[in-house]
Amino acid sequence: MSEILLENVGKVYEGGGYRVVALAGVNFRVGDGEMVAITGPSGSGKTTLLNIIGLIDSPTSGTYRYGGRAISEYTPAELAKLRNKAFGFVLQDFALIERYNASQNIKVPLMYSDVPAKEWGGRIDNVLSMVGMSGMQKRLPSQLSGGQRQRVAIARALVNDARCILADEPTGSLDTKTGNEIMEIFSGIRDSGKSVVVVTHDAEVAAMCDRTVRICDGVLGKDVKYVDFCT
Amino acid sequence: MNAAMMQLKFLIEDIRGSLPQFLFGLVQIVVAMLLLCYIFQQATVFSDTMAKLRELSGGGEIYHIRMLAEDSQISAVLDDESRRGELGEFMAYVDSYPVRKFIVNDSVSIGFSQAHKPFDRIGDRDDESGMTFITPVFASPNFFEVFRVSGDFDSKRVREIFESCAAGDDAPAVLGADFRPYYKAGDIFEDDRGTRYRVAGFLDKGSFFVAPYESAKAHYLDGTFIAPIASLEPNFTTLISTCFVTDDTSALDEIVSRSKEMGLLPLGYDSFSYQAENSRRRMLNEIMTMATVMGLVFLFALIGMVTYFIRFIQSRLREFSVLMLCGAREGEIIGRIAMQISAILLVSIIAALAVFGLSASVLYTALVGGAYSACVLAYPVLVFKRTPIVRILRSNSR
Ligand SMILES: Nc1ncnc2c1ncn2[C@@H]1O[C@H](COP(=O)(O)OP(=O)(O)OP(=O)(O)O)[C@@H](O)[C@H]1O
Ligand SMILES: [Mg+2]
Repeated sequence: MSEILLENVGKVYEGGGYRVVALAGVNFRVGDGEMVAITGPSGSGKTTLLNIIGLIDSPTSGTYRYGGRAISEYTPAELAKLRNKAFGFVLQDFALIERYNASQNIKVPLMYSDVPAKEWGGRIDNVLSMVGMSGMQKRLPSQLSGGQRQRVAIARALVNDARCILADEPTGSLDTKTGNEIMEIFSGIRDSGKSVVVVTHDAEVAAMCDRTVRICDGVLGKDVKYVDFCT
Repeated sequence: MNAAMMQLKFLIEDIRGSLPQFLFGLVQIVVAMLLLCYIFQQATVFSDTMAKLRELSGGGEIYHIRMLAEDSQISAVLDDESRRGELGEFMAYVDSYPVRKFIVNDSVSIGFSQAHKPFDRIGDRDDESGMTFITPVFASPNFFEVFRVSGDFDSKRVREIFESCAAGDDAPAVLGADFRPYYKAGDIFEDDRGTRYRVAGFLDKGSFFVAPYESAKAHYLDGTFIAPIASLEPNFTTLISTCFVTDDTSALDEIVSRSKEMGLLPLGYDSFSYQAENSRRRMLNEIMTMATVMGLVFLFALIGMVTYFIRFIQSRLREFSVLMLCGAREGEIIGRIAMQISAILLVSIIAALAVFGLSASVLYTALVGGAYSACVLAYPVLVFKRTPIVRILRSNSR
């Protein structure tokens, strides 16, 4: 069971003289093979939520269970393993390594996996063709367009056969046509039995998902957030 | 992928990325480590030497005679044919004086002609005269017991041969290990003065002794030989190579006043403790100077390396966080940083091994190098650990 389950998860940023409640008691669940959109206004905590799900940030309250086990019980090494195997992250700015070419970037998760090196080439070619980037192995990120970089980032998220793909504004900086193509790719991924969580501002993008979760600031500026389900 | 292979690949990649700074740090650290190793080695030699000397005196004090005259005055007396007899008389007097003594004269250089092939290889060749010079150790018969030097011979037997040797006889010679391939016991060789030596045996490889002279240095014997002092004509160098083991200085006072009475040279005497103290001070001074230079090089290298690593980590923070996003453990990233300093450490240990050979000094140097590397890494690693990856990944996405 790879189910993602957040129970009353909160995130508070505190520092010298400030206290920001980014998430206040979020209950959220993603099942296998489902494509969920997270929408909401800017600053409402969407990225924070996605980062917590993807294990690169941790909640300050509540419980996040992955596969039935609270993540606070996982060791740092196990968490690293999960980041490697269970999740494929597509960040808003793609998070590609500039001095690596497309193929080398996609190889990164494989380097930390158990996949034997002789399978890497095949896997890389495979995911590149899935995102429509065959033949661009040797291109550096600086030699790629925004949409192409996005595809490389998606290919990297897919290469290790992650069960859950997390994407932060994957269409944010793309034109409608390219955005739609990217969403097609995500639909394909969902159809192959994986779950996909997409953070988006775009109602059209959200509409392509199985369900949409809205995360909003509390009325009257109170530090309260809620999640409502408006499928 | 094999984790070690991956780290190695990263190492090459990282070094290539900042080769000049890396090489600069490498050179500094190698120099500092070699200095450190040298200091350790000197300190070891020094303490071994002191221990050996203490063993020599068996708790008692060792004295030796010193000439209180100018070199010209000394040679005037020594070269005066008419005083030969007096000199011999005086030497015989000293020799018969009832105090435990031993003699090691390692200051007479003996020439061997070309006919002696092995000497060409072992000794110092002088092209002008075509001769090869060796400085044998002319010693009293108790040399082997006093200095605990041994070999393939029976010490008692050699002592007897040494005792029975008189001037003009074939001199027994105990050869250093380097001579072993060329001679066997019983062989005879001859020096340029016509003195014949009969091989009495061979010393163990690496044999050495420490004479309680001012320099108090280990004297290695592989490339030389030991012959009885009796085979040298009696002279003043023998006198100053005589060590008296006694706690009663009246004996020495008598020798000094006897020389005065006979109108020979003005003499004095030094105790081994006094010389040991001198020698200790000199060694310590030398070590302190070296240590200061080494400390400065280490300090500069430390500052250089710490800034290098901080810059390295900061320039790669984003990359490292991407790697962690893709499943790298924090330890793997730190390992990658540690690889560079480990490579430097490895190179300097290999350099130390190449220069000094396998020894305790190299081991200590390696240990200090390890601690030093930890110091170099401490702050940069702290900087890295204190930066959560999510902050880095976010900082650029805005
Ligand atoms: N490190 C931080 N320290 C303090 N406050 C932070 C930090 N990171 C995020 N926040 C705050 O947390 C809140 C939620 O941020 P988050 O990035 O999750 O919003 P978002 O919904 O993704 O917004 P956007 O649509 O603009 O990307 C914001 O008010 C933000 O200012
Ligand atoms: Mg965001």
